[in-house]
Amino acid sequence: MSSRVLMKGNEVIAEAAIRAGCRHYFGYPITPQTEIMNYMARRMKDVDGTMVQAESEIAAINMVYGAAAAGARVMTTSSSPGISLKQEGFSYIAGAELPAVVVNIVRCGPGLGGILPAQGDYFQATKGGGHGDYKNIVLAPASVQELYELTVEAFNLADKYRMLVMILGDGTLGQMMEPVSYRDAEQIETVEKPWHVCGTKDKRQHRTVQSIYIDPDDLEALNDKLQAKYRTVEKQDTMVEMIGCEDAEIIITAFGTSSRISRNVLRLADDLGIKVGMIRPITLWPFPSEAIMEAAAADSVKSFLDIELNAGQMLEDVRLAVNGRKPVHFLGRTGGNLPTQKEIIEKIRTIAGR
Amino acid sequence: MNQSFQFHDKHKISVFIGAYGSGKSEVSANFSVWLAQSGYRVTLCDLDIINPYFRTSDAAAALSAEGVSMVSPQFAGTNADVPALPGGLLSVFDQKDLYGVFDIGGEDLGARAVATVRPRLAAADHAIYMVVNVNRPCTDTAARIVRQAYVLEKTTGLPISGLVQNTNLLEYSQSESIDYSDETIEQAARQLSLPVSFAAALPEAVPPAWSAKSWPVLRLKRFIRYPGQASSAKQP
Repeated sequence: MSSRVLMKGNEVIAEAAIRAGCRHYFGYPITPQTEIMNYMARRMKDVDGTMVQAESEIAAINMVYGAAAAGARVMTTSSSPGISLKQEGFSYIAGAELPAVVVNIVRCGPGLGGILPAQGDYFQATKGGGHGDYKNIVLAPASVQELYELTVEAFNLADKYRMLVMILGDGTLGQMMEPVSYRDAEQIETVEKPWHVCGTKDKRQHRTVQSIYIDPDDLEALNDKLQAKYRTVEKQDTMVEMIGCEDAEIIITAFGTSSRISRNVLRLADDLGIKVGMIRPITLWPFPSEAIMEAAAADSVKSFLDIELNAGQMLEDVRLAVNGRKPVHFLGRTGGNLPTQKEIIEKIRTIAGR
Repeated sequence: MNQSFQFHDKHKISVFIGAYGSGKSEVSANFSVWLAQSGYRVTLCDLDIINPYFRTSDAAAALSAEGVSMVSPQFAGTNADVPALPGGLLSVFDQKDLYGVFDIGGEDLGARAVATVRPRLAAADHAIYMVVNVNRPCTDTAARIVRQAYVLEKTTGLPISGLVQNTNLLEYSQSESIDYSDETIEQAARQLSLPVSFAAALPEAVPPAWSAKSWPVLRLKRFIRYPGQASSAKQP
């Protein structure tokens, strides 16, 4: 066997989770991510793990809540409509400060929509989705190799902060095949979980994992603690990739699949004599606002072009960071369509006026 | 294109099965084109009811230009998440001068499509080829290839005729030093008492070692476009 294996995005998520120590998986099938569950069904047997096809997405996320409270590395996966169903569970997990990993292989919406790729769940993923003041860490991979690495990282971050970490992919990333090397597989950061519920054996006070606080001051104290934690995450774990931004005239902002398409356009623009760079957020929350603010302050940068598989969602965060300094243009496709390189290059020519 | 493909074992119906992502669709498409170029009337039947995301039917126009007609699932290309077998499938059995190539969906679930036409297939002159990519997780050892073969035979209810060596890393094949693991495939074939019927690879990825092998080599042309494939394969 070669040192690299040919893996489908969905399969590599499952393999990465198992290599990161995930031994509990709860899910409910939905296209275009069902291969994750299929792979888990086969592989969990090899590692004495548990894979349960729950009766619904809501059941699956509450099983995640339970396993996380018991200290396990646990994951659930779904696609857009299924992720909507899980939102109540996300909020409870945030309130109870539990580590868990959720994967959303986004399909086009709204409603039942279709099975094709989209990025229309950006708002839901980064701005809450469920009720109350909480955040999830949201990672946006752009290749099968990165799906592997960020899934491993998701488990580490979840344990580090006792937070829910979401992998926000899309149908293209889930279905595509690329070679993968399982490097750094051994880098599993194990953390003590002195809070987890595992039975007292009558030897100590029992522990409680909960998200209910009757006393307003207690609940405000929890909220203050959560917000302080979120500020730490912003400071320590914001990830971004900058490509050719020095002297760039136009900066593309794009994540995941739309960044893959955009990456190919940079060279084409260069051939036309238009210097285009790209800022690719790897964490969608925390959002790399500083990188964009700095780019907006550069004299060479005349404008931004945000490219997404939606009607303009990350666009709002880009505009907040640019803060009116430079114009922010937008190119988006919906319904499962992907913008073509030609469409993007035409848009760049229009913006550049040549 | 494939005059160098010295394969003489032509059957009225050639069925390609295999593990998920083994490259069945690309091999089926190229095998059909080779048959058409050899002067046969060929219909490629896309029986992949498992994955609606990409399938042979997406390549219909390119295949038509090569003289291969297609029978596809009713919902193919509509992105409706409804698995259903194509109605035109039986015409391949009924028309005497028509050669059929069946592209079957992945693993045992996909192979159920074969089970539904088992009586017709068993009565027809046919061969069933199991496509193997050793760089895929379910077929990376001889033992796993053998297990996969048993599962597929049990589901289809028909014996496999031979293995197809299709080890690859997609378009990354040419730039990589791939271990083609020929001995893994040969070992599995021995354990199954099956021949390695032929090998398949992109022209630039055909390893020199294959010239010393007894198997014919089908040089592949890309017909199937997979999601996310850009004009440049370079990614982070």
